Amino acid sequence: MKKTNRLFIISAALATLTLGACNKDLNLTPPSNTTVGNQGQGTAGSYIKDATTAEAALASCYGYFRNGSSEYYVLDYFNISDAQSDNAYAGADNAAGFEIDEFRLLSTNAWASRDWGYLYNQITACNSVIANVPKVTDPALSSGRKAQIIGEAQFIRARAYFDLVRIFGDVPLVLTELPTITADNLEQIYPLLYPARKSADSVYAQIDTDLKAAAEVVPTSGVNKGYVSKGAVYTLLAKVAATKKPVNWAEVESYTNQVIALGYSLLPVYDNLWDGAHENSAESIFELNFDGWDTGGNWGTSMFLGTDWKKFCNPSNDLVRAYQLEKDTVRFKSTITFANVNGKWGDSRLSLDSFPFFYKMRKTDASQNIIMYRLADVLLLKAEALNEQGDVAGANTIVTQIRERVKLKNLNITDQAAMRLAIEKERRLELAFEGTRWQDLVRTDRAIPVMQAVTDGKGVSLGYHLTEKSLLWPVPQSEMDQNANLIQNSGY
Amino acid sequence: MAQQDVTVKGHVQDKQGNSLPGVSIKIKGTAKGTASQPDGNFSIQAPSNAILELSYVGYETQDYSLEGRTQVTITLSDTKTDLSEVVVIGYGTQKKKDVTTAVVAVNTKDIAERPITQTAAALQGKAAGVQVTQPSGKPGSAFSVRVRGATSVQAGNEPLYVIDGVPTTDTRDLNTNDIATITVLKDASSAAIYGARASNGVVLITTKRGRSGDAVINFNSYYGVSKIGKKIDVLDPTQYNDLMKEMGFNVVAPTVTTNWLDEVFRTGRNQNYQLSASGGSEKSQYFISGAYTKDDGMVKPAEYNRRVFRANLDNQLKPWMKLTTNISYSNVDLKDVKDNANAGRNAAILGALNAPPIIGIYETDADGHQRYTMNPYKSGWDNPLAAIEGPTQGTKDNRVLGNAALDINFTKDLKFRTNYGIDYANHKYDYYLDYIMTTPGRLDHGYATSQRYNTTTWLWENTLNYDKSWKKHNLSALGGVTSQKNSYDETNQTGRDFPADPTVKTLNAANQITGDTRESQWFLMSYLARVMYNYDSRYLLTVNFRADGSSKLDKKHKWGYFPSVSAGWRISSEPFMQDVKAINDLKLRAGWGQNGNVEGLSPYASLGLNNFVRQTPTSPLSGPGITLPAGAPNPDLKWETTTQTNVGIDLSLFESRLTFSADAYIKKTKDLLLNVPFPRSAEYQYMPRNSGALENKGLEFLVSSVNVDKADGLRWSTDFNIAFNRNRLTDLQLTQVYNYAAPENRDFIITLRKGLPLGTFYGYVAEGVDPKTGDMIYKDVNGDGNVTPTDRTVIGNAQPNFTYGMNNNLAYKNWSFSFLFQGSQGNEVFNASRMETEGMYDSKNQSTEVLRRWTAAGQITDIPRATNGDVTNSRTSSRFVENGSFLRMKSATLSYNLPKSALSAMHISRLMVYATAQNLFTITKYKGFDPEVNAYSGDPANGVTLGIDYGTYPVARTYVLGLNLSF
Repeated sequence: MKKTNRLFIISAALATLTLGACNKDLNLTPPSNTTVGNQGQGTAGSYIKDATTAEAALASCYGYFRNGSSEYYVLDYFNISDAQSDNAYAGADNAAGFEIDEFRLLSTNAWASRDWGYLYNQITACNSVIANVPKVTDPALSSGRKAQIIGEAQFIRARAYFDLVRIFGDVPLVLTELPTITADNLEQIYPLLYPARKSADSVYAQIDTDLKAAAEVVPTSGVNKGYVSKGAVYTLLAKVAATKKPVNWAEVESYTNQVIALGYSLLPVYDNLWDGAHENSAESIFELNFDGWDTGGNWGTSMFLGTDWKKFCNPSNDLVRAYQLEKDTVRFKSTITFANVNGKWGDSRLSLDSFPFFYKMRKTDASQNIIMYRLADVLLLKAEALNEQGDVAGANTIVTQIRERVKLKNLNITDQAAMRLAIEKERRLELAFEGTRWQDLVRTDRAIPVMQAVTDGKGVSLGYHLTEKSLLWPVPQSEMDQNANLIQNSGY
Repeated sequence: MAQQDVTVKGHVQDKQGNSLPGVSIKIKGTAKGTASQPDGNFSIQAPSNAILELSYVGYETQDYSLEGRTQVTITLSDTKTDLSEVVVIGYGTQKKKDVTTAVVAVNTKDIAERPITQTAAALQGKAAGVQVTQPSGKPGSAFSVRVRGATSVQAGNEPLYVIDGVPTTDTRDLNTNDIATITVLKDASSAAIYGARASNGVVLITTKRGRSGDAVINFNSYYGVSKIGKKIDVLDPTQYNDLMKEMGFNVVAPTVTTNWLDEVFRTGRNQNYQLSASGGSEKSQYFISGAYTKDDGMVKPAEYNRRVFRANLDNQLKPWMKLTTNISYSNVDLKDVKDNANAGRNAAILGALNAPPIIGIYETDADGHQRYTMNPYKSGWDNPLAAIEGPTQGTKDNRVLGNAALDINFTKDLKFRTNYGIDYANHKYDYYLDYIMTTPGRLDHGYATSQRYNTTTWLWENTLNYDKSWKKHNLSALGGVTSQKNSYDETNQTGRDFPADPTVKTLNAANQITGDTRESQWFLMSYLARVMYNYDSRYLLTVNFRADGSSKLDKKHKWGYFPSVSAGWRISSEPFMQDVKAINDLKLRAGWGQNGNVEGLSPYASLGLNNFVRQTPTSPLSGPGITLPAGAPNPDLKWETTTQTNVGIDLSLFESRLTFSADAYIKKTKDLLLNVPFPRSAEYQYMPRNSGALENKGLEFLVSSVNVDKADGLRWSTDFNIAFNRNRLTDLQLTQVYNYAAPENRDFIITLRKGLPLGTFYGYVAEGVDPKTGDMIYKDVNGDGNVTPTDRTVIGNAQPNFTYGMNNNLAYKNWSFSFLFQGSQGNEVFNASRMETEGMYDSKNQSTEVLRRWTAAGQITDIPRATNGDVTNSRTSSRFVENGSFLRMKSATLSYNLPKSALSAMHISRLMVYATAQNLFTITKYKGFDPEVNAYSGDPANGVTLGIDYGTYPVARTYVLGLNLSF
């Protein structure tokens, strides 16, 4: 029995060992992630507590341009502005794209749903910076830099809301972060997740507030044009001012002047903007910089250019004709390239012998930059502001300046209405495939007549059926399902 | 010793006169024993009046009185339903007649006669309430096993497997020929001893062990072919071009045509070779096996190659101490083929159906390189061979699963067991596309991905067992502590821009590389206790308790407590029943218990995890951006708990020739784990939360009958099982709508809503084709005058009304014939493949169904007009919901045992040859390849994403010839 006793002791010891050794393992911490707040509790942005985390948080706001929301910025951005307008056909093979192109969008459209998400994801990252960086007391974070960080986030947030409000109209206006979620308060927090839509006016007001605050603090220039600068903020202020109704044209003019005063200049050769050798140029104001796959590459080029498969956003007959009628060979060549695609795919509208592709993204190694704002856009906006205020001659001077670079003759228009159309056309030819056409048509109340007049290569109407409701997309059904406080746009 | 031992020589055989090797022969009342030799002979020193106790798996245990004989021949009869049979239960065994819970011991005899490579396949159709489906016919792909319906949406629905005492969730690497027993613990009271991992039931597997005696060497092998069971007709070149013309394409006259189904589908091959040796002395026994299994799928290049090795050793170290060691090693290499995606994504199955018949396989590009042809009306859609042959790809898995257990008997009644187990796997996946042959490869000038992971789980269990019988009281008590810890690490790399010469396919040749590594761990610690008591095997009671602590949950909720109780009344043991000779056994059972489930929770689910996003390096360097967590922290997260009540009856009649079992259960899952989606305007995308409740209730019946049992050896037995399960989401908190399973660019198919079962299809109601316009008419469900997405409604359900299986065994002399039917009734399938083969919205080839398409006003048909670029006519709607009921001849085997006379000269003790057909025919109205498939079985929420066919690799029809040889 002695033996048995010994065994008892050994096994009791073993059992105790198992018990004791393990309790600490019940509190494992993740090796590959940091957790929010203290022990995984705290607000989503509670990791922001010193200079380095404040910078890292801001970096994530920029990160959405090329990582989290890249599908929006390198693909959908152009489908919305150009394929939805008379500049291009949807191309490729996506039913969702055809629905948008042909104005038969449903609330279940996959692109509408993802774009809503991409923009809000970036907004919430900015909200987190704006809410938490002011609380940082780390002396390593100077008050100047602190203000800059907040300003940059405010710009990025305002830019995203500007897209949202133009695509969807009234949208939920979320500006703060959720409170800390605890075991006890979840039920109380839950309603905060379901904001109702706010009027477009109040969204514009918030965009204005953010931008005006940003304008005070952001630097004049950064390492490259990929960072928020005063020029970017004033450009956006000018665009917002030209969009929200009623338009205060003096304000638009004033903002464009602020940009121009910062010393940007038109590149002498138009194609230099797109040749890949002049990135972050003197003309560029805000330019999404891409380096390569490791930091989030621009895969957009292969979505629009190449004969391996039918690309998105095929330039329309109408756009090709517009360049030809204007004899605008310089911009035509820089904007559209052609290839023989016989035997590669079919198309009912475009010639397969010389099939058009957008040509403003050319680098296929993922390092293609995207120029979001540039001086020519701002100048033409100023021309519009001058014309609307009766200064047709002033407008003409600017349009001439733009046309001279591309070897086109002076227009010498003196009639305000004619100048309005001339600027509209100039913007189209200058800024095709730069994310502006559809929004320009909508803000000038020209979308319906222009789109209904679009014809194919043989002059036959494409029969787009647009109504006032087509100017806004439906709120995604997936959001409607989640949030009972959302009311659908009319007509969907 | 009062009496002198004598040498007894004997021979053991079955009713057909075949020698039985490896039969355990013990002298009753002693520990002394031996086993029969390969030729069935044995020799033992025994008192001349001794009683020999003969036992062998699958045969009736028999007591044989020597009565002075020294030369004996003993015939064992097949098991009918042996009430003294022992069933494996959690942490022990129990006599079948004393079982008070819903457990089912699965017949494993047929494993050796069927081309079964996975444990789950051996369960199919065999056990009531265990629904085994094969969501993909791809070699090596996982089966889906549901014990009494799904209890969870996203926390996992597969049962826990316990192989020789080591819990695991993946049994694909287990050599099925090594399996000795399979027991399924269906109800909470039987599974409760596995606590927090057991809410989906537990499958206990024991592997074969050696017996003392001369070595028995077995060689098993089969060779077979597999083919697709059904064909779908597609348009021929002329019909295809007619359609293209109708859709507005400039039709090109074909110079070459291809039948893509012939190119994609081939005859697969199934091979298996297994060699095992077992034997040992009285103190040490061994079972050693090695096997090679090769399964070449019926779609190129799908193949599965498995090499497994097992050593099971038993050593009686001391009279009071026994060491049991089990170790298995497996090496699997697998080639995948892309399915469950559309032809535009270069997937093989829909690729075969959708590829234009008017092109060849290869073409020459402008630079003179050979490459795969593409859809002539849509470049970039490579032909299906690009998906099949284009990539150089493969998976390699190595796995070691084993344990060592030490049993110490303190006294006759009190036993201690310590068990240390390990489950280690490493995985390697490489994929390479050169820069010429395929569209995606050309896009990146060569593209490759590489994944590696290692996962290790160790287990340490210490249990004390106390067994005591006095008078008619029988008591068995168990207590223990167990802990398990898993460590996981992974490496993922993607490379682009490879050299022009495609010789080097590894990532060192990639000019651009992205990659990352990640690690995680989890830990589970448990206390368990069980008391089993019965009085005269008449009144039976079992009480279980288990407490589990998990590292996955936050402090307050780390621990979960899972009790259970079950009781039985064996009426047939009552004195008043003794005169009822027809009834051998009659037992009523009832049980109640709780189980948990956190299997599907990620290791740090209760925390909000920040991630990193790379930015252009700054000067000075400052690291990456930090992003917001996708999942919100939830300090309140806790176990998903399933409470199950079970009542059952077991009845055995006419000397156990007819047995009957029935069970009724109700299973309620509360604190259902869901990733509650947040609106996109919130900084978190979702919160893991206990946010609902689910209910399963059902009935199960099992009938086994020996229909014929003639003295001349003719024997026919039938086992039939049928199960009815009803499933319903009874509560949903916060978000009320969850949607799942959206094929690319299409609306989702599955919805999860309160009051509805899991696997509910949602979409438009299709009301036929408008003869005027040729467009589909969709119902204006809400009556607002417009058909909008708000008119979508419930259009079907993947849950069957009942599932059933029937197995028949016929034996006559050396011949035996068995066949297994398996079926499912009342389930619907959403045939999303038809959206692609009847959608007529782009230049994909279509099935011949579209020959009926609307082409002229006034035409009355069920197929709408072709609409290039517009999917309105093929929306997610009731048009694609089909009756998925089926009855399948799952397996039929004819086998022949060569007579002993022919074998003895070759020193062979047993040689059986057999021919087996699997999935010989399927009776169904389903229009696709096979109704059993599910394209979304790999979805994290596969509890709800059921019954969708979307270019899924179907189950094959297989014919094999095999032999089992012993010497």
